[in-house]
Amino acid sequence: MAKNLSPQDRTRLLKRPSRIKRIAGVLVGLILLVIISIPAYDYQKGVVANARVIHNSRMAPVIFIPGSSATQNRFDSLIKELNSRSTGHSYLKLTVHTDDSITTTGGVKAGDNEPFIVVGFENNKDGYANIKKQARWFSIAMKFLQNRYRFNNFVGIGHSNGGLIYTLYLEEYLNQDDLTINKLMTIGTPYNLSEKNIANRTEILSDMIKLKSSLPKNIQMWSIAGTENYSDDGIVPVESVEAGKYVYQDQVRQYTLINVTGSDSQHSDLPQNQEIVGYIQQYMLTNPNQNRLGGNRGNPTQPSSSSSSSKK
Amino acid sequence: MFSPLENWLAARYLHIQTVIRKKKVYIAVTHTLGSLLPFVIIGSMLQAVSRSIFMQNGFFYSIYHIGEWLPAARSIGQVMNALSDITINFSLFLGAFLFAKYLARLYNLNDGIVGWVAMLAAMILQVNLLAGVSRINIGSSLTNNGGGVHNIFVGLLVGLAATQAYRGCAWIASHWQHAPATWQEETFVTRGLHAVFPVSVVLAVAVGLSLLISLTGQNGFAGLLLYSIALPRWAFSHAIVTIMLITLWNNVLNVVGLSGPLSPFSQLTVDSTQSSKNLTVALKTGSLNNLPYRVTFHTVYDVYGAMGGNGMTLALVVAIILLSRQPDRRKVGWWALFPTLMNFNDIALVGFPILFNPIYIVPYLLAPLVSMTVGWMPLHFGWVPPVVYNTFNTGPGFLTAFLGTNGNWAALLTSVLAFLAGLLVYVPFIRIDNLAWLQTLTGELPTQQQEEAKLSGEELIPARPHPAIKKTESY
Repeated sequence: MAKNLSPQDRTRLLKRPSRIKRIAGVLVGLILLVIISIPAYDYQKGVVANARVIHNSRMAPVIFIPGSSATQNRFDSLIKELNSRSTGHSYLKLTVHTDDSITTTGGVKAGDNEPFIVVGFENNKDGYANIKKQARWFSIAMKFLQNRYRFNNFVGIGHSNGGLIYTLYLEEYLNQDDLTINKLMTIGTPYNLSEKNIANRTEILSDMIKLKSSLPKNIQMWSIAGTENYSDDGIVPVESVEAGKYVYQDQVRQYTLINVTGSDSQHSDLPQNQEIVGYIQQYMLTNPNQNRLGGNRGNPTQPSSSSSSSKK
Repeated sequence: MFSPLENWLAARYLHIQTVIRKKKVYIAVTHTLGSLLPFVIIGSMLQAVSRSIFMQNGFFYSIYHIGEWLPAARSIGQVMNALSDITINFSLFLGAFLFAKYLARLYNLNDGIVGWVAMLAAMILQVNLLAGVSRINIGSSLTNNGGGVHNIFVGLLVGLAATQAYRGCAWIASHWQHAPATWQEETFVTRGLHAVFPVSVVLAVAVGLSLLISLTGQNGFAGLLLYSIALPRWAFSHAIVTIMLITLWNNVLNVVGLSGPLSPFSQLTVDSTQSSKNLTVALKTGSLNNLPYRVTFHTVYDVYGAMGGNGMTLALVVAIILLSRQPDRRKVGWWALFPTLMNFNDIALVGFPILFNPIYIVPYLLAPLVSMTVGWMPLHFGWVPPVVYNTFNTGPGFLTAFLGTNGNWAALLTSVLAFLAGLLVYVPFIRIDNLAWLQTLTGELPTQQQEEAKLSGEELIPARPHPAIKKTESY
């Protein structure tokens, strides 16, 4: 340790950097600050503008996914039925092409808070590999829709394999901070494909079960099975529809399995089945009689529950 | 050169220095913090870079849209975060080891054995023995309130207890263990043999205490300690006096090496009902004029009282770089600048240090209160709107007000004023620190090395015989 500091040492130790150095340092600091402040300000403006739009949009569309081999027109008759007593719900159809591009027909009218949107796929073939691809295409369609209409919650309806696409989408693609699914209805969805024996779990079922913890916890879920005879709806075995409980039961807020029998309970007829139309109006729609033109022209439709047996 | 107040403070401080430099515990603490510094610098840098540049909601990640043009960003961030876990988030254990080691040396015990047994004891105390040893996740128990060096007090406490217990046991053992009569009988094994009894006692006591802690269901010794000093939820009312008192309490805990209830990275202050009501009104009306809650923890403490982390550390770092004449302080200041801009204050806590350092404890407690007063007044009188919109938790503290009000210039001005007020609080203490350093160099103040030599017969880290220009450090 140096003990006796000479006056020169003292001044050397206490010397401050030259004035030019200090001013240059402060200037460089200020310039760097401006360089980061401007994009930060820009970014924040964008975030706040976006937050305002989302907060003030009360739109909650009903989004349909058709099953395999069906196009974006699959739900035309169902939607005609749903809109038969009102003209209020606008109708938009999307097709996602194999190159991720999107074409649309129809549109959403201004001020419509509950439009119907159908997402179809150019490649609508069956099989797990295709369903996986379709789930990804669906996520692209959802981003597209969210960007265009700025909604933060929606209701989902999937027919047949459309229900599988929904399940894969919810497990793997949905960003829950960004988008909320309130309700989900799958109609004749073969969770275990065409397998009748529940003990034989197909690859897709075991994959969906593996990822079930990433399902949103707050969904209200209805799974509808059609039964022409005691075992299936002509195509999908009722056991395969029931297998959905291994994915959804105790994972989401509410899981209800409904068995529909009687006329129009053949697999392909399910979307036109009067029972099911009733369930959709009762459970899925917030404003079943929404009428853009004002005035309520129709009576509230009550589903006829004569020939259905439902268990919860 | 000095004002009367500064003169009085300087006299008090120099007196305190002459006293504490003779205390074994203080000497061991200074050495511990010094040896911890490289790990803290590396870990803190990694944390700051990964959380601000490579992780979602990070400041640079967001403003430069890094996720879009660097798809691997989040993976890089995760790797860096893992590395920071084993450097800075390990400082509780490292602190126990180093503190026991230096203390053992001052007591002329075998420092290697004592240091290691203290570290083992610290690990045992962090483990929930009832949950089964296979379920141990030491890492998760270390990240309480942001992890880092914020709970180093626990390590020091375990180090102290282990050293004293070891010392006591070694003394007892010396009565029935025969010391070698001559140096010919002593081998390398002798000291190991003599350590068996004290080591087993220390470990057994640690296991017993750990079992008791497991019964409480808390997250190890650190969790229990934090739980026992935690404030009840109802204490956090959003009145300015409460905000000031809780900030003060939080910072008192910080300077002894414990994490308090507040931190720029905890969501406690952001996620209050008041904040979300403010946000709803702001989004609905599109204006910040008629918000229901102007003064909350979020609008006052987060925005004006914690720039650069608790204690307005950013103001200290800038003040050190501008005013300190000590080369070491300035170098630490430059290292700390980037992490502190991103609100990580660990380097400053260990490097200057703030922990257990009487000169910086006072302004660390005072500066946030002064800055919060500067920020609170215009808020109270309605000259400046409160912060409502979500901002980044990394990123320069003095921009939070500007960004969180969606670009209100009065808010920016207020936060610059609050920052300058914090800086002014630190200035006199840095000048006194310079004076103490100069007096040590001239020999007016006894150096710590001299005191160490008196206590243990040797300096813990031998001084260079001459002011060497280039010589490899032997430690």
